[in-house]
Amino acid sequence: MTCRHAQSLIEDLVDNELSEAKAAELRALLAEDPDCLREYQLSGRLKHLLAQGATSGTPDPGDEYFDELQRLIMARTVESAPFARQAVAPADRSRAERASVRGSFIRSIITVAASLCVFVTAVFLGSTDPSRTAEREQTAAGSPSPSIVHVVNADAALDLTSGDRDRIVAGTMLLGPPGLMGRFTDIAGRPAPR
Amino acid sequence: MRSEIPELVKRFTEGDMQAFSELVARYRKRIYYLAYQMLGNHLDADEVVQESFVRVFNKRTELVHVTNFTSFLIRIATNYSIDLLRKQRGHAQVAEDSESLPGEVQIELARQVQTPDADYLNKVLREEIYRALTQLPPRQKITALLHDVEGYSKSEIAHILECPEATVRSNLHIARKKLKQILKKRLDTKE
Repeated sequence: MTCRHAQSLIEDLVDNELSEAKAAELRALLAEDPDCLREYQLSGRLKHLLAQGATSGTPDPGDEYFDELQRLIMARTVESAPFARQAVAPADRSRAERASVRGSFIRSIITVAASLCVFVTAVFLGSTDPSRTAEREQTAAGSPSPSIVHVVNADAALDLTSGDRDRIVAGTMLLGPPGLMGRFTDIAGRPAPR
Repeated sequence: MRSEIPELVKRFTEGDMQAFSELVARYRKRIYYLAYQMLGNHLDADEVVQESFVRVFNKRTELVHVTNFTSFLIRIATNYSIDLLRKQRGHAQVAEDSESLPGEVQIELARQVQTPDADYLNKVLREEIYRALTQLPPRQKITALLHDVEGYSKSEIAHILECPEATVRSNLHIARKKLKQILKKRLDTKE
């Protein structure tokens, strides 16, 4: 083995990664070649200094820091993930489920109440429309719109019996209360008279 | 009774968050010190530790197929550290001067270990080496750190960095060569 070849094996010797036979051969060379020996000593010194730095080069931030670091990590992972619910205890889970159902019920009530408010407000606003005042005055509560009665009675081609007419009128009363749906069209689909 | 790492990992993949907490407690210091060695400051090391465990948490489905959790975690930490290095500092600048001092300098230093100034000289040398280490390119730096500082074997490093062992050997050899050159030159300057 020459010194040049030995250069590539010196690091393996420093790392204790050579076979016994190869290590013995290299050590014999180092004993005879001062340049190779110096290279080996330098490599060993470097590794020793690097290893020392592992314990003395890094400042210790303290256990309090690491505990706080752990809390931050858990907050960013377990506590903010839906997966975390799988780790909840059974007693706590039923309590959480009950709270969740109660919350959903309350939200549903609020939604229905809000819808009713919108509906009532729309009815109220429609009923205050001055253009419908005259018609409303003519129409008693629960009575069909005059325009509907007119259409039903006037259209002889429909060949309706009086019972049919009554049913149609009653149906339009349900569908088109004054001030809301009857506001825009009458039974024939024509725009409501202004 | 203290659980083994594979058992903790298995429980974690099955949804046991207490197992994850235990894994964080066991590895937090190790990842912190490794990151500090890589990046050289507390803030970056802190970021690496947090981000590494967040990524492990997000990749928990992959842990089922992982045979070595330590390598898996260190790989995540080193990759993130390398990304940080590249973003913040760019590629390291290494002295191009290939002149080397005679080996007698180091031999003399080795003899001086027994003298009263040996501790101080060792401290100076260590600082010089770590300063030189920070100048290495990321891959060479992390290879030298994992091997010579953390004590991982070349095959373990190859598994961590997901590269051939020959690449690890090559990076380590180049890193050591550069460190020795820079160290010799600085010692020559001091004289």
